[in-house]
Amino acid sequence: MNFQGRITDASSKNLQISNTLSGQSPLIGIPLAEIREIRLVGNSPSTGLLDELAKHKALLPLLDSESLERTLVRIQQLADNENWPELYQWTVMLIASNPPWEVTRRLQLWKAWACMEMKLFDEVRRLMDGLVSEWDAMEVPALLCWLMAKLEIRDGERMKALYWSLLPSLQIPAGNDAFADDLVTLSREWLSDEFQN
Amino acid sequence: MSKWLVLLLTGILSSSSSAVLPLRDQWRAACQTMARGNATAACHLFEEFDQWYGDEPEIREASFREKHLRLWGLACMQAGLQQKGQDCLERWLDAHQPEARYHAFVRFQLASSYAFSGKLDEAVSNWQAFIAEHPNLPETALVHWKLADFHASQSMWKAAEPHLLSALDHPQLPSSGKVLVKAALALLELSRENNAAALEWLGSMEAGSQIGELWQAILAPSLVSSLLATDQPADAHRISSWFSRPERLESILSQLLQTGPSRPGLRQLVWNTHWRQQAGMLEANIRKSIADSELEASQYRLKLASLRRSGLARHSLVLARALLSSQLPVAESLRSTAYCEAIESCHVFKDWIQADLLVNEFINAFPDHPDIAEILYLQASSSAGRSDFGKALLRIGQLIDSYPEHRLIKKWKLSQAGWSLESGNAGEALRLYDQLESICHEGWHPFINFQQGRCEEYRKDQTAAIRVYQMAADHPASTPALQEQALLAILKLHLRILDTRSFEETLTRYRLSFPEGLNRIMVEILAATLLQQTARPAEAIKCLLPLIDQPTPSALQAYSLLSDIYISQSDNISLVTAAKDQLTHYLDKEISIPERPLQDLILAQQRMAKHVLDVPMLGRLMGILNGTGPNCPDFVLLQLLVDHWESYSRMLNLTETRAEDWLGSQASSHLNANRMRPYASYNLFLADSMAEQGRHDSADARRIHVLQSVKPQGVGEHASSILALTAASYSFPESRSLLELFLRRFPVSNSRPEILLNLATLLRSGNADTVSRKQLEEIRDEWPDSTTFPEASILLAEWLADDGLPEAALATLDKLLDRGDLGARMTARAILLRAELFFSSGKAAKGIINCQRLLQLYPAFHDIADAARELLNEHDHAQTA
Repeated sequence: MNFQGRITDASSKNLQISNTLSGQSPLIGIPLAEIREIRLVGNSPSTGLLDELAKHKALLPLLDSESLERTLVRIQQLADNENWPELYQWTVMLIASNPPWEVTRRLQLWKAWACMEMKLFDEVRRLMDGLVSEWDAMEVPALLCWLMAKLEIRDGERMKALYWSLLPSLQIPAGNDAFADDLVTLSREWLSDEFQN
Repeated sequence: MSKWLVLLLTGILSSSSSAVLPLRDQWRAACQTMARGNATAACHLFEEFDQWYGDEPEIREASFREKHLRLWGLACMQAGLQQKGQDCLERWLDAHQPEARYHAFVRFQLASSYAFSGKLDEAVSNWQAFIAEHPNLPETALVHWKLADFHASQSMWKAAEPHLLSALDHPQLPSSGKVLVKAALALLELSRENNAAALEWLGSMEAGSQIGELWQAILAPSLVSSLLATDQPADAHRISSWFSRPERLESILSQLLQTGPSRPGLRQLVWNTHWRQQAGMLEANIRKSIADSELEASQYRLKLASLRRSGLARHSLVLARALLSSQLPVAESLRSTAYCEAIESCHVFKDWIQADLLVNEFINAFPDHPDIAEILYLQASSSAGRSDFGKALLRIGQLIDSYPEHRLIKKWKLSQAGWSLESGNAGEALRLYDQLESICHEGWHPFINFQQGRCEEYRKDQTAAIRVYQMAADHPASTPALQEQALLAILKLHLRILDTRSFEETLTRYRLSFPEGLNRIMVEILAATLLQQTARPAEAIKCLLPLIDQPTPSALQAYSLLSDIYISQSDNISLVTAAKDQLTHYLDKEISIPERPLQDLILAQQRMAKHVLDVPMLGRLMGILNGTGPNCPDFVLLQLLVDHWESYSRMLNLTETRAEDWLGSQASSHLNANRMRPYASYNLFLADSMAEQGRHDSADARRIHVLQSVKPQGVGEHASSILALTAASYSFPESRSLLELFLRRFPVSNSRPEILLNLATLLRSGNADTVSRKQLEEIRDEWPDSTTFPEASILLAEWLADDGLPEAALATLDKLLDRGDLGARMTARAILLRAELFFSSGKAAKGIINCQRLLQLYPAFHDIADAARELLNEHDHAQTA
């Protein structure tokens, strides 16, 4: 059975919605355990969706794939706005909701990115060790390479840094986002050092 | 175009005709039937109308005639009666000027009808007329395109190109259309095998354009293959970044087909039809690419090949490693290729250990691979590369035995002979070259003769060496380069035995045969050396002076010989003139200045007790110090200035008459201006001066400040070594990377042994036993004349002993003790260590002899003598017990 309405409360084990469909009672309470999935509808301003979801964290595991994707888009905007603490919090919250494997992997990567920007290097290393083993070398995203290159530079591991900075440009298709561009510049610096050598 | 049609129909249906009713009814019926879409019936009605009323004056009137012919012609074309329709529209065009309403529409319809009915010449002439009559309509771009397609279909590329260029330049062609035209131009260029032009068109497509990305991906594999085949690897590498995967192509294509431009409005129908044609062609090509199951693997192969052949071995190694670690099916199919690439890349970087590991992995993984013999050859080359010729020869011997019929057997045997010579076994090498001479093609003989000459030279049989070098030079199959090499080798041998007559004969032959030879300067240097050695310095100088007017390494060698002669003659004036001339050559060409002329000027200043630089030269050299010229050995230049700073400060009108003040103020001002290289030079030079005065703390404080302020890649050789050694002496965390960076940047620096020693000590403290020993072994084997050699050898012997390798430790000590100029204390330490090794390996008698020798020769070194006595006592106790 489908219900549609505005969420008024999801703090207890029940979801309270104020109904907007005719022919149904105006206020409905549904046990969370009985809900298969929730689809978010309507246009929220960029952060509004996250603000709403933050009030009803219990609903996160119930989001359908489309709603989850919309939420991920909003979360990525936190990175675009360099809001690292909030990016970190949201990745933690969503990972805890046990999303599909590919989404978890993406969230872990953003979490590592937030940690890197907040200079929590030990945590970045721990996360990256796990992530590197989960991605095939020929498919690793440029963000992962970028994070690994930065980590290895920090640790003075010159050759490893060079590996990660060159990798996206050698994949098929070649990486072409901002991270891949940054890595091309970085690798040129490394290689020009090597040339001087 | 259809929009015009609708407008027209509306106009006609609302017109008020004053003709008689039957005529009017017939006309109306024809027009209404056509408007309802029944073209065949309309056509019939128009024809009847023409038959019945065609001669009526009202119908012959121009404005009605225009409507009649146009609608009748269009109705015929819609009904499939192309011939009749074409006649009507031809008559219509005969009666109207290009400015007339509907003219462009009629011309376009007529051309399309001719094309549809296969009358291509008529179609082309009408399209050409359209372009001439209506150059500014949006449809003109389309007509150009159609004409280009027509010419391309006839393989008339030259005729097609200007039409595509006109379509591209047309101001009303949208950006998506421009991308498609560029793709068409690229295809056209590929068809006439002009890869460079095709590349330019594909490369000029707007970033982010889906159509552009698809065409680039479709055409890239064949382009890269073709570029590699024509030896253009750099372009091939660039284009390989357009490679894509089938799933991505599929996804972009489906987006494109869903959202493809569907322009609103009837007039846009022709555009939409054209777009569908273009999209269809693109789709067909993509489907073909996707159907190629080998596409992905072949793209990676091409990528690896273009990387390797562009000299991008580091990139190639990264890609090969990623492929080796990948679990994707495509990577599985590329395992052996990736191994080969990785091994060859390791060879480029002289990473022999890694190359060996990869070879072993490959052999274990693919014991029956068809390339196994070539991999085994790479394995042998790895050993040779790291100068382990014993292993290299063992491996190549096994390879030759296992694959005696292999197509590369002669190459292997040449390597075997070369490695035998490198390993010092010239006799065996000579035997192998003799064998090769009998089995190789005549064309190889000069090369083999030349190598035989090297073997004879090594065996110190100079007569035999000259004889075979002569054979190499005289052989009809010999190349000019090899002939030159052989004559040069002969000249060196004549010089060595001071056979003046033979030398001059060979010299004359060389000068006549190779007046512009590659080795000309080297040969003249040999001639000057002979003149110098036979006490004819004036002639030697005359010979050398023409050689030193260029800033090249061989000219510098000639200059060094010339300055040696001036120094030995105490001709300081000529020395200064020649040194300043040399500096001018390098300054004029903005090439890194060598050390030798600066050192000569320092010597001349000492001998003449006065400054030697004039104001213009001083100004240019100061510019270099301040970072506005080519690189130079900053420390030597500073020494030259500081030695006579009083004079130079006056010449420069500087208030700092004390060199130390000047160095300090220069360092500060460069630091404030963030010019880090000159800052490092001034400050480190000042630190060295302070250290010489015993002010070690101040010196180190300055060095540490430089270390913290500058990028280590940005400083010169001497500064780099000071920084690395300072970091090592204070155990700073970056010391390892600085030491390693120095070794990579300056592989032949005189500071190398000291850096190696420090790095070895550092690595040993981190338990990297094998690697740390390698550093010391390099000092032992490659730098026996360095001041670091004794210390490094003792340390190496100690480490070898600790690592359970007493024989190797003893061999190292023997090599050390063989050195004649070893200091007394160092000799005593070496003998003590040798004694310890003998005792610990059960050779007590030898241990006792060494202890006794030590006590006899070096009793004054109490600590060492006490340790020797302790050893003897321990031995006595052990015997008693």
